[in-house]
Amino acid sequence: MGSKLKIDYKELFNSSSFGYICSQPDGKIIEVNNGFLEFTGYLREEVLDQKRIVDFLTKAGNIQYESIFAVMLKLKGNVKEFSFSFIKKDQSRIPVLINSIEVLNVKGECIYVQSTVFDISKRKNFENQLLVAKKEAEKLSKEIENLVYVATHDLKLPVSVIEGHFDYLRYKLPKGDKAIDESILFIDENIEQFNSTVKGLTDAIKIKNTTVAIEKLDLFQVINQSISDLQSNIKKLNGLLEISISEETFVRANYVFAKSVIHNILDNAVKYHSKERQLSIKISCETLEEFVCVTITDNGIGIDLKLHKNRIFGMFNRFNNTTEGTGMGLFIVKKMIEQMEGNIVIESELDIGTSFKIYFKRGI
Amino acid sequence: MLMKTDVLKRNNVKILGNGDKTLLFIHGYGCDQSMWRLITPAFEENYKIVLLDLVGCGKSDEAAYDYNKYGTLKGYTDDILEICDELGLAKVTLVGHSISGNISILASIARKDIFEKLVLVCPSPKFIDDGDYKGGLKPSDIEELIDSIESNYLGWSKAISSVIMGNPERPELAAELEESFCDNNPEIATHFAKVTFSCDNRKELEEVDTKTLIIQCKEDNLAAVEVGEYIHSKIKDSDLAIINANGHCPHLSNPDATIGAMKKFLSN
Repeated sequence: MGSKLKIDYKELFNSSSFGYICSQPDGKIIEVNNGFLEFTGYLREEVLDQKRIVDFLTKAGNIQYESIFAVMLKLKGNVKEFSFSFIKKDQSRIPVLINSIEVLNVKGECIYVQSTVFDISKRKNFENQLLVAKKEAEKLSKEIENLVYVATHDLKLPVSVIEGHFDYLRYKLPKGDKAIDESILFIDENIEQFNSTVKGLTDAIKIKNTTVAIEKLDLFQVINQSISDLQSNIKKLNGLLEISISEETFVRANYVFAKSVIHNILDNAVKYHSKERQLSIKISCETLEEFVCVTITDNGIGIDLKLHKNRIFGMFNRFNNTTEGTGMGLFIVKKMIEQMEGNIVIESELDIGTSFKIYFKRGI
Repeated sequence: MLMKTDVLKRNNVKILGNGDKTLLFIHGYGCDQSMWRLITPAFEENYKIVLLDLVGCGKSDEAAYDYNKYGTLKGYTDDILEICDELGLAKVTLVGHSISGNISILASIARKDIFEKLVLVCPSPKFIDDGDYKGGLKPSDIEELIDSIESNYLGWSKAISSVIMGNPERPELAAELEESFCDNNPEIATHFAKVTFSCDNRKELEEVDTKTLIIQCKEDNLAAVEVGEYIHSKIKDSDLAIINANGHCPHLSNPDATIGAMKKFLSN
């Protein structure tokens, strides 16, 4: 159908609401469409051979153009969607995006530059709102952090007082009463749970706000050291642990964080093992171009990712009710990984097992 | 446990060419070492060429960006001196673009033993007007610049590397990242812009004893010919070469003339 219509390309060029500009390599404008003239308010003869694109930009725009836009255009041959403020003939300003591309001859030399200018006044409003919202969100997140800090700090004292008095009462209470013993156990467990939650919160804030020392580490050693505390638990369950990683697999990470991340994931594998089968944990390692990926796979109870997909690494999320836990573990793991500029990805299937891929920056 | 900070990795230092004399290139605000691409091949035969990314730019170690240290040009100058010492360089010609012309000047004053010559490409000791001195910009221009940097980085995100990690089967994403030079962290870019455009190194010009070439574009909105002439009048032993080019990057827009001016100066 389209092929039967005769399209007047010159008309299309001229009437387009985008501004089209052709300029010489030295910047001088040699052709523009009517759309450009309409939207800037200039006459054709005021522009052709008279102006360069930078003449339509503010001083700040000039800096951006000369320091970034012109450099990228020369090095890459094109620049896409660079945002500028454009000055019209009446001196009013409109926000625009500019695309430019170098047109080359057979020898690869630039003969002229083709540019398109889009008016983004409407979009800009929306963009500004987004920027405001982003800043607001950042501020809020900071405030929440402060709130958590103050709250945990203020909660610690009364609980430690309760703990002290309870320790005193413990000896005053009659021994051998089953109901009282159960009650004591219950209080002990809950105080412990409270303390570890508060510690988790404090740690989470600490991790986010500390710049950690990143160093070159041998992952082989980090993994071996993380395993040592868990060996007895794995043995108790008669579990299997299979590790395939070669010595001198170097990563750039923080020692304490790296060890803690691996320890946490292994600890989860032990905690959430399936009673139906013998526990098996496999650790393998693959060196990629920029990262080293450690895969830790277990055959435990698994997590229903369809239900929990976006909350896995969130705060206070628990995905089962079988064992103790604060719901802080994976949240802290994720924060530590982020601090080391790595990543963590989970795959899991209910009643089959869970597999974590942990990406560390490769150490060279 | 902590290892010595690797200064060469920190500044993504690259070494090319042969020769006992060294040309050390320092890029300016906005981009990275790739901006010297059209110049370096002409010198590879006779010079050792050292390229680097200032911390916070290009492929430097972003984690090393300390807002205090890089709050003045001294932070950058110290890095250059450290790199020279690490590589055991002597008889160095520093080639600095724009703000890095100032860094080159500061380095040459700090360590006269290392630097033989300076090539300042479109330098400006102070970008902002001050009485009779015409830098070309007003403080309000810089404020506007700071605001506008953000709008070009709205979609900038560290997360890009996690996108790649999550998609090992899509290597084109990595290729795209590879091409994303001049794509610096907006927070750092903003800070660097503030430091760059508020500098004032006019006093130091008279302290320069090193033989200096000033490469000036015929038309440059960020460093006009008068600024080049001003520097020429203040640095005792200096030549001024005015290149037939528009804009602030003659090493990109007219590399042949830039190379010609440099060769003439270096052979003297």
